[in-house]
Amino acid sequence: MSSLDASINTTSDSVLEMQEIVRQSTKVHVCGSRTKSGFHPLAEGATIISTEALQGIVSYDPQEFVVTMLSGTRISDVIAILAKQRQYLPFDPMMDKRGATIGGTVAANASGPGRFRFGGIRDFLLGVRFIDGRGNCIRGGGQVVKNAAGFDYPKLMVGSQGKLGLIYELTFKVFPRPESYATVISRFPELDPALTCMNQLASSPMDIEALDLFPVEQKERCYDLAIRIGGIATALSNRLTRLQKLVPASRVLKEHEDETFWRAASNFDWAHNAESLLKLPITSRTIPVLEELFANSPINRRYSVGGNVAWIATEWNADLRARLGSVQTFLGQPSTITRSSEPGPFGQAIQRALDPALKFS
Amino acid sequence: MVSQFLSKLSQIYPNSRLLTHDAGLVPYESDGLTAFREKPIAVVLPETAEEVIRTVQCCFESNVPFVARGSGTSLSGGSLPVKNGIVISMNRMNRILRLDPVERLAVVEPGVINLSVTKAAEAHGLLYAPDPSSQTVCTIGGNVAFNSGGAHCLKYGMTSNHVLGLKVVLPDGSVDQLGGESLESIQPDYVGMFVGSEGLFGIALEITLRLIPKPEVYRTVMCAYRSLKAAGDAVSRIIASGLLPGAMEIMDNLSIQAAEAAVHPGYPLDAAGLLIVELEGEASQVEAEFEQLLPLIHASSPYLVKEAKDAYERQQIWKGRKSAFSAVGRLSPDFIVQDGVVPRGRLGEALEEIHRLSQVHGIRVANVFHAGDGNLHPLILYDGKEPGALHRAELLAAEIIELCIRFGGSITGEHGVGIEKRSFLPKMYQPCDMESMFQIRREIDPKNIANPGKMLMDGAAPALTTSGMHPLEKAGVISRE
Repeated sequence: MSSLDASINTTSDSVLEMQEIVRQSTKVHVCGSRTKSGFHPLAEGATIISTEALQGIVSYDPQEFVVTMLSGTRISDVIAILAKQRQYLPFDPMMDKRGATIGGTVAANASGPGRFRFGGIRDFLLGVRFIDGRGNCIRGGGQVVKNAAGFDYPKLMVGSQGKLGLIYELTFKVFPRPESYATVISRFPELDPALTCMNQLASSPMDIEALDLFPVEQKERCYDLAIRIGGIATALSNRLTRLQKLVPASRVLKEHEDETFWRAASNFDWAHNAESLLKLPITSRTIPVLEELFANSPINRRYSVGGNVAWIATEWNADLRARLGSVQTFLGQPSTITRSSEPGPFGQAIQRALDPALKFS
Repeated sequence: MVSQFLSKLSQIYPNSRLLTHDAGLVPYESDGLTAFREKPIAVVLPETAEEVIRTVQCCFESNVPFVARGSGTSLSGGSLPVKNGIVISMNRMNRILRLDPVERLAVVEPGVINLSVTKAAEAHGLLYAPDPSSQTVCTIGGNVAFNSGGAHCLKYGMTSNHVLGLKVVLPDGSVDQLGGESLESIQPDYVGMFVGSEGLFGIALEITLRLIPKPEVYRTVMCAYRSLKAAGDAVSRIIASGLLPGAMEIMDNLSIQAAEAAVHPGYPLDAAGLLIVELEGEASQVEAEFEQLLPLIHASSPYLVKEAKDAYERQQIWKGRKSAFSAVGRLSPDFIVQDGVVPRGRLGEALEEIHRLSQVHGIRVANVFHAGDGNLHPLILYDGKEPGALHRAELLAAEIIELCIRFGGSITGEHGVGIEKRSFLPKMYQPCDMESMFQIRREIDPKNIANPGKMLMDGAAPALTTSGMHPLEKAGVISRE
C-alpha cells in the first residue's frame, strides 16, 4: 500500500461538499484511481480528494457525437458504453486495463497511439466543470461540437496535472468507430530506413490510425514499425494489400490479434512494470539522438504517434533524466519536472488567477 | 500625453509606417462588422516581431490600448479599434518562416494569409485544414485570435486544433513561448488557452501550424430538396449511419439565389434546401463510404442529386457556398452575418423558429449553415439608410442567439464574441464562470489595454485596484478566503 492509499482522506460525489473542502484546505491533492503514480509529489499537510465517487455518464446523445461524464468514471466503462453505439473516443485513452479514470486521463494528457488519426485529448474535449483554488465551480466550453465562446478552459485542463483545479465533469466529442482494423508490422535492420518509412507514411494520403516505432527486444539495432489502418470492412483488404506493397510486412495482425496488440500498447504492457515510465514529447528528428543515448542500454522504449512522443521505461536514473531535458515521470517515483518546462509568464498568470493561494500546487 | 506617446512610437517606426492622419486611419475604422466604427489615434505597420514587442511595451508604459489587426475580416468586430487606442496592423509580417514537410509543420508570421499556407504546403502533398470562407484574405494571426472554423470542423476541428506552438507578446510586453513542434505536451495546454482569446491575452508573433496530408480523393455531392427540413433530415440519416463526412453544408433558397447570381456555381434555383456532402480520404475507403452514402441520400427524397465529376466541378460547388456571405450583399444593401450553434438534432426546429422570427419582424433572413456541427449562419438583411432598420435587425439577431442558448448550443461557433456578442456571453455562462474569465484577464492584462471591450464587457471588469467588494461578492455569488 502506497502512502497515498493510506492517506486518502476524502471522497465525495457532491460538488458543494468538495468546494467546501477546497475552501477550507491550505493544500489540495487530487487523485482519481491512482494509476499514474509519477505525477507531482504529495505536499505535506495536503488534503487528498479522490474523484472516485464521481462516477457515471451525465448525458450521451450518439446522434450529437457528444458525451458528458463525471471525472471519476473509468475509461473502461466509457469505452464499453460508446462501443454499444459503435462510437469511440478517437484520442485513444490509455490504461483502461489498469482502471484509469477519465479525469486523470485529461489531467495527465494521456492520449494513446490511436490519437495519430484524428488528434489528442485537446482535440476532443469540448467542455469542463472544475473547482478552482478559490473553491468556485467553473464551467468552460460547451456541450456542442463547435463553440468559440469565452476562454478555452477545456484545453487548459489537458495536462494540468491537478495543479489548476479539481476536474469534476467532462464533455467530449466522439466519432463513429471504424468497423474493422488491421495492422502491419514491418521489421527494419536499422533505424534510418525505419524512420524514413515512418515519415513517408505519415505524410502520405493513406489514412493511418496509429504509427508506432520501437526497438525489437533481444535483437540489437532491429526496429519494428507498427502501422494500423481501420475503416469499412469491405474496403480494408484492398487497403491492406496496398499498404503491404509499400511496406514489407513481417506480420499482419487482424481482428482479435490487432485489438490485443494496441490495447497492450496503450496499457504500457511492453514496459514490464519498470521502475519508472517517462514521457517525452518529441518530433521524429529527435529519435536518432535518443537512440544514440540509449545505445547498448537495456532501456525499453517506444516512439508513438508517428514519432511525436517517446515513452521510456527505465530504472530510476537521475543522470538520464537530466540528459533528456523536459521529461515527465508518468509512472513510478514522482519527480518534479525539469526547470525548462515550468510555466512562463502566461502560465504563471493563469495559475495566479485560478489558484492564487497555490493550493493545488 | 497623446503627442508624447506618438513620439515614442516614432522612435520605433519611420513616418511611412506610423499613420496618424485621418486619410491613413479611415481604412482601419471598421472591420467585417461594418455597423461599428471607431477611429484609432494611430496605426502602426510593424515588419518584425521586435517592433511589435516594443510597441506593446510602449502601450503598457503609457496605458494606451492596442488592437492587433490582420485583414480586418472579423464578423464580430474583433479588430474594431478602441477609443484612444492604436491599431497594430500585422499584414506586413507575412512570411512563411519555415515549412517542414517531414515533420508536417509550418512556422509562419501572423500576417500570412490562410490560403497561402495550403498553397505552400501543396507541393509536398500537405494542406492546412482550417478553411474559413474568408480564407483567401484572412490572416493566420486573426484565425488564431478568433479560433476560426470553416466547413471541415466536424472531422478536423477548428484553428486551435491545428496550432502546435506560439511565440506571443503578452499585454505587459513580456514574451512567452507556448507549446512547440510536437503534437504532444507535458504542460497544461497553454496554446489551446491562447487561441481564441480574441486579442485579450496579447499578440501572436510566430505561429507553428500543423499540416495534414491532402486527402487522396474527394467525393462531393450536391442534393436539392423541396424543403429545408428534408435537407436537415438527410444529415441526421448520414450521421446515424456511422459515416463521418469531411463536410456537410446546407443553404436555403435565398442563399442559393444569391450565390447563383454572384458566381454561377450551377445551383438549382428552385430548391428550398441545398445539401452539400463531401467525403474524403483514401480512395478505396471513400469508395466504400460513397456506396453507403448514396442510398441514404436517395432515401431522403431529393429531387436532384449531382456529383462533382472532377476537381473543377467540386471547386464550383464550393465556390458557391464560400461566396454566399458576400453574394447575399447583392440582395440587400446591408446585412448581419449571424453565427450560432445548436445541437445538430435540433437544427430543423431552430430553422423553423428562425423562419417564424423572420416573419414576425418582417425582415428577410438567408440561411447558410455547417449542418454537420449544428453551426448556423443566418444572414439578416436590412437597409441601413432606413431609420431604425439596423436596430430591428439587431433585435432579430439577438433573438436568434438567445434561441441558440435556449437550445443548449453556443452563441458563436467560429466568429467569436468580439464586440457583437459580449452582452450574450453572461447569458451562456454563470456569474462565477464570467468572474473567472475576468480574473484571468486581470492577471494577464492588469492595465486592460489588450483589445479591451471585446469578449468581456468593460463595465463588469473593475480593475484590481478597485477597493471594496466585487459586485459579485456583494451579491453572494462568489467569495474569497
